Amino acid sequence: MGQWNQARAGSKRTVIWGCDGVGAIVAARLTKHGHYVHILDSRAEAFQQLPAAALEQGNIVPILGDGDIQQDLLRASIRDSDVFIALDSDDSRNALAAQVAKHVYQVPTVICRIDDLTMQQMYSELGIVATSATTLLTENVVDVANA
Amino acid sequence: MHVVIVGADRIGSSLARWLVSSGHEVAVVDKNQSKCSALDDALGSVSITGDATDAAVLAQAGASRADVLIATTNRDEVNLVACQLGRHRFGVSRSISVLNSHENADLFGLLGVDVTVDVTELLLGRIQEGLTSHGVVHLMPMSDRDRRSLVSIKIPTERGNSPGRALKDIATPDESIISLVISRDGNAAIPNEDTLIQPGDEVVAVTTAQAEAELRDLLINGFEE
Repeated sequence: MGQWNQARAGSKRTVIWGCDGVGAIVAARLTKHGHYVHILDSRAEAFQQLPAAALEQGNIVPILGDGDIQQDLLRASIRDSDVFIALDSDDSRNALAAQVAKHVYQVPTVICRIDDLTMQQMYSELGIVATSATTLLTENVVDVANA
Repeated sequence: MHVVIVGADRIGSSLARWLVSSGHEVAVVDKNQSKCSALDDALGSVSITGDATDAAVLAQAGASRADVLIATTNRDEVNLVACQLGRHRFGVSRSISVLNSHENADLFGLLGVDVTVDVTELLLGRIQEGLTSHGVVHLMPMSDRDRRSLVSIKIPTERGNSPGRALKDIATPDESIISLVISRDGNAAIPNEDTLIQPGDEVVAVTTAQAEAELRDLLINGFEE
């Protein structure tokens, strides 16, 4: 467990932390774009939401653990990954995990869910792609209303 | 000095007591209402009940005029975010944080936390000190890259009649620098090659982890017959 599937060269290798609704859907969608996904969650039952076909083919590998624990990130092969996505429900834990991925393991693309708007803005300024449902919904609504 | 302390557990509240008694202005942030009340009863109104990762709460604690922010909670993510908000949102020039998980030490340094206090390492150091009478006591880590530390080595007094040996006669490892010799009567001196190392002395040195045991053996075993 934890080694990247070597079947296709050139595919992106993505580590996701958080396999609740959003995490599972993001994982499934990314595999359709050719990503290999290692998905971390500390609750085994969360993995039930993952698509069975992608699991069977090894395109999504579930790994029991937390994204803010470096041992667990290493088990998910964070060292050789192209993308890290932190989708836990706790802003601070996401911020810690994202900064570990970016600064300790030099993952090129780091995306992180941060609901608190002040924190979200600060981490965006610090080079992390920080986003939340509120931000996306606001943008969407304003875009449509203003069209 | 105005100090914002995050966390009203043992470390945070003891720190607040000490700072107040030294004449500093203190604001302590904790989520727990009863811990805040206990602190207010002891020190006057110093507490703010709330989440220190919320900028509005830090603002209420006077972060914008704080000289130092000290994060003492048992959660590294809270300590890190509070330090970062202090620095990037309120311009606090100095941040100090308790570190709960040793694996986060590098990250805290990289992200500009000025001082990290690794509680587990400190405790281990003290316990090791208590366990070994002839051992090496770690005083302070010096640099993360080559893992140098400031250490103290106590020369046992069992060989009380030994006349001592000059430093130039002890082939200390290249990776070690003897920085200070504290004699058994308490006088501290910066050593030169003629400095005598005698039983009961305390030798303070900068050394790598690899050279540490060799240094200890050379300093201590030289006195054994």
